[in-house]
Amino acid sequence: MVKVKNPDEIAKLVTSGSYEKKRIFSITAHIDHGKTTATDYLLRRAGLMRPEDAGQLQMTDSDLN
Amino acid sequence: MTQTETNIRLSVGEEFCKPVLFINKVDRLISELKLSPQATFEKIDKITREINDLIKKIRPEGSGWGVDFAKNSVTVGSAKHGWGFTYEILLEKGLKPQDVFAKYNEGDIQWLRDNLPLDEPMLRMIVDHLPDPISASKYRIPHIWGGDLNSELGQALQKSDPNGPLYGMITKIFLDPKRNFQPTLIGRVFSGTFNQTDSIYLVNSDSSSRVKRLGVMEITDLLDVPKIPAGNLFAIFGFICPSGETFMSTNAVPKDREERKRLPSFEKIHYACKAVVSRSIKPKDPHEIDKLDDVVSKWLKADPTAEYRRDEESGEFILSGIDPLQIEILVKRINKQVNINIGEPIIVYREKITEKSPIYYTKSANSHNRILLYIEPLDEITEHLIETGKVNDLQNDKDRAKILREEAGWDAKEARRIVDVYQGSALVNGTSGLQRFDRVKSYLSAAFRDWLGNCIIAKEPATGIKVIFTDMTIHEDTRHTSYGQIAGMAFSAMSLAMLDANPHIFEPVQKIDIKSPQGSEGSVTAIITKRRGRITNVVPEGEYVRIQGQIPAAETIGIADDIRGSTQGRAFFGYEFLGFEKVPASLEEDLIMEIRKRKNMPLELPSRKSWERFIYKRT
Ligand SMILES: Nc1nc2c(ncn2[C@@H]2O[C@H](COP(=O)(O)OP(=O)(O)O)[C@@H](O)[C@H]2O)c(=O)[nH]1
Ligand SMILES: [Mg+2]
Repeated sequence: MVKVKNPDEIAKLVTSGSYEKKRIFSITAHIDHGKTTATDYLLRRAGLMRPEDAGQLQMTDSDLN
Repeated sequence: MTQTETNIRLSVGEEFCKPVLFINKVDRLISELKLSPQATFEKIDKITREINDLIKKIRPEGSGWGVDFAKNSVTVGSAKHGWGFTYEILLEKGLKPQDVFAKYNEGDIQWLRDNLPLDEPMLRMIVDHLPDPISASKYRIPHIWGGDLNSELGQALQKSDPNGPLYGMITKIFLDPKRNFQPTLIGRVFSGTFNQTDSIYLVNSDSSSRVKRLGVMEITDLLDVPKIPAGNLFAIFGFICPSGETFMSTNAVPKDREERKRLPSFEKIHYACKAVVSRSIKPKDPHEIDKLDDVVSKWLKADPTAEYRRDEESGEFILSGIDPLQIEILVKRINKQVNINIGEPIIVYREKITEKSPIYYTKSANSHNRILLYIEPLDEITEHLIETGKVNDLQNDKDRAKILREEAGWDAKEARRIVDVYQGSALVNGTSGLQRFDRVKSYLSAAFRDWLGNCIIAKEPATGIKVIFTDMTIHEDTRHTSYGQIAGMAFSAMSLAMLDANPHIFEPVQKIDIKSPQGSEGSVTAIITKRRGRITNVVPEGEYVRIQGQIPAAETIGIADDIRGSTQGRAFFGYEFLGFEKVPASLEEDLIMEIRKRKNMPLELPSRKSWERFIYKRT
């Protein structure tokens, strides 16, 4: 998986013609089943947060309620 | 599981997305429900089976789309504690499920996080079981795209060819609070390469837009990427459009408007956009009316399941949607940008008929035109096809007839005689040809729509009605065939027919799913039954009791507080729109009067005397 916070590497992946390693996916489930919490771990793997923060940060929760 | 089920239906069934499964919150089976390893695995098996049954139902031909723990397409774990495994990961680590249980009982969550990190099984499932964009396009495009598969574009789409014509879809609109609610559009390129400098044409909106920034999203930030080839997601700033829009390069757009109308697009995502609840909103400062318009239209583009209109009579702005909770959230968000006065939630009922009417023969006020028609209940399948837009007024007659024949069993001849479809209802030409019909056709459609929009019992919308006219006389002089004349005779014939078709008020009903702490299930059940609800299922789940049932939407207002109160806030609950049901006879008349009173209508039931003078009497 490409480490993020690295626009050049991301641009390279996006524009590259090799598709075997690309996946487009989405996560869907009932509210409160843990989508946001689980997503933290994929973001951690991509280098977007400290290991111990995954599961706590809920990084993709954009809602301002 | 109600919402999960709906989501699987939409993504696997309609969008042809291949699934993998993550069973989450397994920690609760172990530490709260104190299930044995054996019982935990039985529970996991049961969930997997239920999911597979559903997948099989909606994708029977797609064998190999089911999920299977033994084949590593199921992850079991706990997102809260950050661990998870597939079958092969356990094998590789030389672990047994019992080891996981043992660590739990020792309270060693850190060990689980370190040794079975959740990202590993998730990532492996995605990489090993989900298709890359090129393989996916091959089988998805024929189902999700409406154009000719043998055309140049059709071929490029199926190959996800970065050298093909530019073509793609805007899938999501995100209004970023950090950027003063400016829209970020997320989409996917399905053919060709999207360049930063391209101007793109929006097929359904029939308009062109320039891109300010192009790139990919990283959480809430856009990272600029100047070129996005087919098979990638992208994000853009610069304009807004409804989600689900199809786009192409402006350079490839035909000049001719009629030709543009025939451009193929992605199948619309079929939201059942039904008004079930509505709230009026008004800016506190009347000068902010334009701003409110702007803000609301932006939010609605991001959330296409809600609707917004200005009520002609009261001058109020009405926001309506299918989910009372969703409308509440929407109203709160809008209120953060414009100060508004918010009305109480109002339930939107339906006027429906339950029998076929006799034939009515009416004339226009000037007596120069006549119509002969009857109405009958439309079958539910057709009603649904119309409500989701799969059958619509913009299709050509042949395409529409094909869907009606194949999916709803219509007679081939009748299916081609549809004059208009609207609001789950259809207007059918039952004659064998009429002189001058083209001249009044649009008037007749407009009358049909107006009549359905505010029907006769209480000016609530009417749905599921099939109007069939079997004869019509249209005066040859256009001065005698104005909209008022044509609409007048059609209105009265439809209204008279409706009175004789056993009409009733139907109310929206919600499916309700509550997890109540054990011991409180009695009071929760009582709250539901007291509000005209019906319990269909009560199952103990460890220290919780799951209560499922249905309840009229009108009775759900304030129910959250009651349930919270009687369970010390420990219940979880969700509801989902189920359908419309006839209002109980004992309540119907009072309800009609209540609605009529709110709308300043005469407090009486509709009767023949309002339209009788239009009846045509042969002399
Ligand atoms: N016990 C337990 N709670 C979880 C687990 N995953 C998520 N949660 C909790 O469930 C709640 C909802 O999670 P969230 O990720 O926001 O769900 P979403 O609505 O699907 O995005 C939060 O309070 C989480 O801490 C889990 O595996 N076990
Ligand atoms: Mg979430």
